[in-house]
Amino acid sequence: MTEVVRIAPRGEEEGGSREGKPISDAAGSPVVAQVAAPLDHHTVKKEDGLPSSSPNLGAAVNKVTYRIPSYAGWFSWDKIHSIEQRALPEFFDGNSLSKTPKVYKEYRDFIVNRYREHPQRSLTYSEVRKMLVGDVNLIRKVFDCIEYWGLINNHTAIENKNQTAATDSAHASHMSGNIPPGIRIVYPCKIVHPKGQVPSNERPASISNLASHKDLFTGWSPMNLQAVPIEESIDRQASQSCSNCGMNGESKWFENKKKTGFILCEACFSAGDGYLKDDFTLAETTSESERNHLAWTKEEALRLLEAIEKHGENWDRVALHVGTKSKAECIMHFMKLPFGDQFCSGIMSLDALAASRSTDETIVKNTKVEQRDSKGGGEALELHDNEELLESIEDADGPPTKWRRLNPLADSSNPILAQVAFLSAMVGPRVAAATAQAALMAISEDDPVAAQFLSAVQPGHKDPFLPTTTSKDSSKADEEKKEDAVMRTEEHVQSSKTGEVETSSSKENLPSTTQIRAAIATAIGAVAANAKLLADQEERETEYLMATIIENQLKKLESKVQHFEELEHLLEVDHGHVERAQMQLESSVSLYVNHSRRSQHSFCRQSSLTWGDIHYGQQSLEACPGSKCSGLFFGTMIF
Amino acid sequence: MKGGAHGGGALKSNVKFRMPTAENLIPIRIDVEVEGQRFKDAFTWNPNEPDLEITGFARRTVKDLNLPMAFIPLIIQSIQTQVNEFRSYEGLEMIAGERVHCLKLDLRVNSTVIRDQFLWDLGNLESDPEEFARCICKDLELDDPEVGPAVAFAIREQLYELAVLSVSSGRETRISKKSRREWALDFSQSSKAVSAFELMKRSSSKSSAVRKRNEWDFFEPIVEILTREEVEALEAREERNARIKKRQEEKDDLYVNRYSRA
Repeated sequence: MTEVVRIAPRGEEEGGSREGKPISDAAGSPVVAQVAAPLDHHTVKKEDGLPSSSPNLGAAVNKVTYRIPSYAGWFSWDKIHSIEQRALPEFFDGNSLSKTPKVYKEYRDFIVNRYREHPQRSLTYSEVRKMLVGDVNLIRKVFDCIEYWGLINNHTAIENKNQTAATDSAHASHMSGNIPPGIRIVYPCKIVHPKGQVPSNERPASISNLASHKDLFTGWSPMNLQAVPIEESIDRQASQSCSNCGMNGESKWFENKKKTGFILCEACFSAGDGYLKDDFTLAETTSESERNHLAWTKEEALRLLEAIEKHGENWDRVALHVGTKSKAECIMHFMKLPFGDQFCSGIMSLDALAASRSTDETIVKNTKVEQRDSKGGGEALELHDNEELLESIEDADGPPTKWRRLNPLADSSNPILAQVAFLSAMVGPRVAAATAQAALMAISEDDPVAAQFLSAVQPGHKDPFLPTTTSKDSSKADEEKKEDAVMRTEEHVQSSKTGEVETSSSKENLPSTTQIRAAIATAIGAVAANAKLLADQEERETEYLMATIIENQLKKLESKVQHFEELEHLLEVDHGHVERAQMQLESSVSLYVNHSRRSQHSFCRQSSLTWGDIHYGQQSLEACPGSKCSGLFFGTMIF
Repeated sequence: MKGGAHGGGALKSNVKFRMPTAENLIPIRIDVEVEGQRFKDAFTWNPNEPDLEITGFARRTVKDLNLPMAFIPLIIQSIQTQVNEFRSYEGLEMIAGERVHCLKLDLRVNSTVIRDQFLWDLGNLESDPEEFARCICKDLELDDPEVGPAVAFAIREQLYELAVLSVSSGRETRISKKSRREWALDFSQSSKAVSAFELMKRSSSKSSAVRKRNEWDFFEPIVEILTREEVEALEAREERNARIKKRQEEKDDLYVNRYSRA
């Protein structure tokens, strides 16, 4: 037993891995594998209240605590301990094909799992052996060994599971207060009531509670309004503690589809064995925006701002400065930081805004001046009324102008406007402005009433467009427009940055329907412009590619021609050869003819034939049509 | 030493003939009849004990059971024959290594009927049928103290016959006709089981040591407790069958004798 005692703490170390491996039996049903130390105190050595990291997903909601005696602490799902090797050497001597460590492990895991399906009753050998293939004696040996070590049928330690399973957390805390030294507390399933999904664009419709409440960044602001949401978020964070290990502050959550409120942290989920992973959904995906909000602490946000101030858009360095967040997270968060954008242009608030604007425009202008003064002092905003806030933010030189350009529309809950903002940011301010102009023109052509309103929008420097609209309007409207335009231009000098901002910020006193139409038109225009750009680019690309293709074709042809020339040359040479050969042949033929004539003469002389006969024969042959050569041949052959 | 012999997976190495169990006990079945009185018994015997023990055992048995003295020589003869048969194999070699056979149990002990099927490695010379039987009785909560020994005996009988079959020199003629007849049936099944197991071994990377769920029922011990009426009816039937069988065997023997004489 000394050996056993020595081993016990090791088992504790392995606590994680012991429970780490999901094992299913032949039917694939989930098998719960939780391990804890036994109840009998005298056998308990080292196991303490470490949180066991796998929940029971069995039919019962209640937790089941499995206990193994501490002297069996060596047990691990993943490994075969030397004790096992010594107890059952036949599996490990490598002499048998069927008795391998793998088979042993299968036997063992199956038996233990089988027991843990119903830990209340004892598992019998006869039950086990019907399910395992193999020599029954061998199986019995394995079974006996496992039973001997208390991995199964450890009845004395079994406690009524109702006792350990505490659904109410008060009970749980009471339990953890005085844990018997050998018991591992498995965190009881904490029923967290499902929170209503907080919409990501939870911005208030009215400006009255317009504090940039959602973002922790603004926590520095003296505005008290933020206190509540932060508390809320903290509350939410706390409620997201892992039902298994009790950890919170994790970034990823796995929610059980079956049991609402049953949440696992990432670590527990990946380590989890006893439950079907299919039952869980990654909560991160469903509430990412929320999560990102939660994940940023105030300090981090401040560090982020600091870093941006220092390093500008060098996000690598920014991320380095923040330290705890990745580059992408920094960018994401920075994009989400409220630079008062929500003050500017919520379409829903615009009517009210316009109304108030028209009544006390002069006041606004006055406050605006104040605003600029106060802004010089620092970023700290004082508590203003809403119009003031709006103006101040319009004027504020927020860190990167790039994002500011988005702001007037990006914030709004209207997805179309958000789209417009996005697109306008993409195509660039000038294109956006041009498209907006074009769109407005088109609208005013369609609808004279709208034109009347819209004409007021046209700033002075866009006069070239105006004649088309004014021609349809009455002179009175024209006058109005001129007046308005002048006024607006003045305003724009102060505040405008891009065409987008102009259109949106200078339309406050227009009916919102027209505005929306204008915006839609602008969007379409922007899309068109963007498409045009893309098309142009594509065209250029295509042209370039075509040029390349043609060039290549030309090259190909050239090389072909070259080849043909070479071929021609070769043919010529061949031709020469052939001609020469012909010449040679001819000469040799004539030589041969001469020679044969000569020999004919001598032959005639030698034979008894008269010259006349020969002459006759020759004559007749020569009369025949045909080449000289063949005639001669015939002639010779006649002899 | 034993372990080494059994562990030797190499099929070449042979071992001396013995019961393929930890204890070298042979199954002895006695079924003798004197003057209409029938004595049936089954037990295991250690063939290494001197033959004198047999006489003592027979005397004791007869005395304990209050049987007529005429039984003694019959019992002695029966045991002696069976022990001698076993001894005739001793000295021969049998194949070592793993040989997994499917053993089947279908027996009735008093009012308990037990059916079972399981795989048994003949090469495992450390197997223990008695312990196995005890486990069954314990797990199935069989109170009848005769069941365990009966199960163990049934296993031993089958193992014995399998061991005889595996004698490398193949003395098949020595197998009794009765067993041959039975084994014609059983062996075909067991060979199937073996092949299935071999299959498992070969593709051990893929298959699992866990049996398929739909096969569980075949390998599960089934116990039936009969009522007294059922037992009586069954006994009567068995008696009849036994008589028919006996007659058949006598006829068989007659043929065999005739042929062997010719």
